[in-house]
Amino acid sequence: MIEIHSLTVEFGGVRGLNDLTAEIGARITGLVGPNGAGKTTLLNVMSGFVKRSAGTVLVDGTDLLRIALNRRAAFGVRRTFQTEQVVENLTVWNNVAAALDNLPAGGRAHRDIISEALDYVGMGRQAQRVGASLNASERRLVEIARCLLARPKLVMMDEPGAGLSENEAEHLRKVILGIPDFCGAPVLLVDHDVDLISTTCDETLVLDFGSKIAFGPTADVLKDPQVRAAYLGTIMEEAA
Amino acid sequence: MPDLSPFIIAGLSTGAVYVLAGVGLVVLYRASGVLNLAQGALGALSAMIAWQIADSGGPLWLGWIAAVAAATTLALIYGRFIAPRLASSDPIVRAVATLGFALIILGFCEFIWGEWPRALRLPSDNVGFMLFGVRVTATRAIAFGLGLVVTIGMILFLKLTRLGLSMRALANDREISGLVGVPVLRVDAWAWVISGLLSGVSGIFLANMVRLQIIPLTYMVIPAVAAAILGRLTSLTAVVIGGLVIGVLEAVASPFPEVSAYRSATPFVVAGLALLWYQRGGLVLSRMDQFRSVATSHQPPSSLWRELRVGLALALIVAILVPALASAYWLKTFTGVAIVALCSLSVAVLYAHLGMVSLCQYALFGVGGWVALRLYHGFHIPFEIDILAAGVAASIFGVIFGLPALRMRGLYFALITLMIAGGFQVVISAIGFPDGGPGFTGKVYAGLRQYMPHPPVAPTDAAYFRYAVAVVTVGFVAVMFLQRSRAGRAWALIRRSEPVAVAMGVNIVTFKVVAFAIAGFLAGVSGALMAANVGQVDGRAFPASDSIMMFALTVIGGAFHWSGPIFAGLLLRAIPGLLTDWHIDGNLATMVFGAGLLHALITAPQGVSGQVVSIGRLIGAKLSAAVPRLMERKL
Repeated sequence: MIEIHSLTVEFGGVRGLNDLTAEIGARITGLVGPNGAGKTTLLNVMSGFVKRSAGTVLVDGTDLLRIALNRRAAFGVRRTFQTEQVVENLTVWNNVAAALDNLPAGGRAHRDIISEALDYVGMGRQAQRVGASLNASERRLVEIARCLLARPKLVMMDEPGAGLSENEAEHLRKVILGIPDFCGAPVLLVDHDVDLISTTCDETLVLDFGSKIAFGPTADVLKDPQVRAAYLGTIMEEAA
Repeated sequence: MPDLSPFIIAGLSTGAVYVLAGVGLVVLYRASGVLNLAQGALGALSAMIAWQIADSGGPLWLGWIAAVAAATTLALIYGRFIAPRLASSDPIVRAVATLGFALIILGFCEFIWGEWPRALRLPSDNVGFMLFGVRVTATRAIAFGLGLVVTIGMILFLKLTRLGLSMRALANDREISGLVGVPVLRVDAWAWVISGLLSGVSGIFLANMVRLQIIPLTYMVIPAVAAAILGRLTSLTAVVIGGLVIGVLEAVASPFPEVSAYRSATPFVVAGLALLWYQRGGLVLSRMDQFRSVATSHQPPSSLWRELRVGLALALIVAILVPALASAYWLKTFTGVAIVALCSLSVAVLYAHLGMVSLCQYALFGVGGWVALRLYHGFHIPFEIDILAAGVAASIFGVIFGLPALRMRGLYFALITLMIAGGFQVVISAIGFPDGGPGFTGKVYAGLRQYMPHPPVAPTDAAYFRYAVAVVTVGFVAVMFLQRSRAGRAWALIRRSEPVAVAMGVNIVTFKVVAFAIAGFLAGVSGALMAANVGQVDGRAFPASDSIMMFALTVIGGAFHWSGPIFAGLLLRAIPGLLTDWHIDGNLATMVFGAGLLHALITAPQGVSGQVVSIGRLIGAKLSAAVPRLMERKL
């Protein structure tokens, strides 16, 4: 359970997030909104790269923003980035091992944890390939594998579906759908792809200019006239 | 209290020349993103040409024109043909490339003219006037006036002219400027012309007012860089203040015996403090993708056991063959190669694993040598303990020198390490480096220095060679293991992107400190080995220029593979010896190294070792394909 309470972020005079309050409790929650709505800002506050002006974020009852930046991964908050961040001169295996190095393994052998995660995302047979040789989809999968190790409490993904082919997107969809069962953590998914959001997310939070304009079951939210006006309107009209 | 006015006036005029050079640096950096560290070398070339024409009886004005024209043309050639090939690289790579350019010019000047003290007289030296009871030569007055006029002129030029507007556009965003129709290459070329022009003019003034000697003139880029740093490489007004302050502080320190020996450290101290001040605040994370354009290795890492087998076999062969075949001179030289390779490894650890350009590793080599020497003379402790102590001492200094890296990176970090290396050199020579005297702080002013002998287990030169190879091998093997350990993986993440590393739980501070400690330790151990190889160490042994050369050759040798630092060692120690044997001027090697650095940065980021390794793999693949076929034929 992630409880966001009155979270506000100011960049100079601009409000990146405006008094945001939300309780995120679904298995998979979508986070959508037009460019500049504050989606990545919310993720960056959770990671600690952006400082809040006011408000709190509780993850399973613990005040997340009081935890040192580099301890949040071990605490259980994991994320992927908008631009892929696979280390090119490490193998797939070592990319994942590098993440596990800083996490509590809970007494299990590192080898087992890594191969489980790689097998889950479908990269088990590619473990010895070097990062530089991976394509866009494989890089995404390695990044996701890095987030699933050692009991995460929350997995955040920033536009994982960008630039994937139809087959690759289908595989990604399955991977995302299975994450809560695989590692027990809820997923917070930022994406522009309405299709991906509507087929994976139980609930969806819509932001516009830093404010919450809708939050609830995905199907209801996507029908909301205010949401369509702010963000989906143009796309849906084009589709229709 | 001595009368300071003559010193203030002299300082103001020298400072004004720093301003001239600094303005050139800033205009170029703003337009093209290149911090031209070859500016001093261009100035030196210009001054030597002016001197040569005057000395051969040519008209003075012809000398000045030819000098400035030569500097401008060379800058334009570099800016038009070489700099664009690195235009998409990180600013640090572009700045380091100009070091290659500087080495080429430096080698050329030394080859033609040599390092003799000369004097460059200007007719304006004989004209003067009195100001506050001090005689001011017209040269100094002109320099001061020119510094101010050029700065104001450049500010107006950038503000009012079309070309100036284009330059400001380039400074803001190169790609977008190109898209909206700014002729990027032409504007770039003009920036290089301005920079070349100012370096030529400032070279002539500095040669007249400070001294006409090639290496010192080449290093006159330092006060200019310091002035530019005060303006954060962008503000011309701050450059004026910075240049004048540095010039005056340097000059005013002269009449005070307590500090006058340290006065040449002024630019290093001013620039270092300015860098620390500008980057103050807590830990700052780099932007995403900070090091994307610094060369990374994409070669699949080979297995540890395979690398160990090849490396250890090589060490064994070398340890047996070299003492058997080499003459006494070459044996000592190869001992030097092995030792320097270890120091180069310390540069490579920081560059290849963390993407950090440290230009002060040779100073740490000096710390190691000094500590080993003094501990031996002071306490006669066993050499093995001595080596460890030297390593630990250099490692402590390495961490201290590396502390700025927690806040700054890339170009700024390289600059502060350069300032540290320069300041270290001044301090070492000023405090009187204890050399071969007895006791811990003993110094010999006249008479014979005491020599530090080889360790008792390796009394002969041949045995000491094997000893050094063994220690160096241990260092290389340790780095191989580290690279594949938790630390190596954390470094790889940090290098990829600091925010990503933090999000994945890496304690950036810890792992950076660990890297600096290890790099310092390696440099310190190699310094200790060197002290026992030559038997003595003195204050002139570790100039900042050697730190720069060490970095350049590590890049040329190849920082990403264990064989790279060995190639660097060969280039640094064996090639000069070979050239002496063949009666070839060593300055040619400097030129070749400069060209090699440019080549490595532009087209061969893996360096010599990358090329050798890929040829080796190719041969290996061909052999493994050919051998079974031959076997089949026999059957």
